[in-house]
Amino acid sequence: MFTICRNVFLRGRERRQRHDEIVTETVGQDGPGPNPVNPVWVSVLGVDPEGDFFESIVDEHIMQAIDDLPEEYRMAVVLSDLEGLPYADIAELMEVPVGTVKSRLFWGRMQLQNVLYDYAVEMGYIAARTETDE
Amino acid sequence: MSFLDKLKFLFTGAAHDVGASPSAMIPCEEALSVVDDFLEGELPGVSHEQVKAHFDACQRCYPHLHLEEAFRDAIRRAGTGQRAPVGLKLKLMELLAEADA
Ligand SMILES: [Zn+2]
Repeated sequence: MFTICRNVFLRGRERRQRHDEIVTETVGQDGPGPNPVNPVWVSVLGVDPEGDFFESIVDEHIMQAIDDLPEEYRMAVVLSDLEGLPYADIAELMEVPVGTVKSRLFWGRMQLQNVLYDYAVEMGYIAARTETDE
Repeated sequence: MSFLDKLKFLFTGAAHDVGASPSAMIPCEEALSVVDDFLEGELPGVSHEQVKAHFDACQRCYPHLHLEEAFRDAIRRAGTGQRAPVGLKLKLMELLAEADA
């Protein structure tokens, strides 16, 4: 039992590391840039490309994942996706330019999607990519 | 197909299985780069109809739009069905109070 848990943990960690590498490679450090690619979009190809797995994730886990985001991303995501505020209002509240709001939303949502994707794989809501896919 | 090949696949080639005339269709790359703004209703420099037409017609891009919608739906559902974690709620109240001051 311990081995199974440990393997699940390690697989999750490897996946996260791989995602982090891909995010860095494709998006760059300074923002989404002209061709933003969400690594979850790639991971779900051929498995659940339309992201139906999000429906299976319990509310409590989603809220916890939002709470675990770095503060600047968390506030942007909460104000936009939970409170429904437009970019300009979020920019005013956070005292940053609209471009910064968009960048924080991009990174925050990407991080959140990665966390929820890993969780969905571990819970069996979605099949993980196998080595033969690569 | 490797993971990175799949990544390249997402951004190569013209709109996939597109029925409309190519001249009226924005490229896949452009459509995918404005997914967030499209869902936000705050598109810069391209019309909502143009972007919508692309996603309606392009089988390659449509799943990505659907995934982003499913993600936002899940967040909204969680937000209405679940009390926000205390830390998050406090921080939000603090921010709103600062903005009012
Ligand atoms: Zn397309």
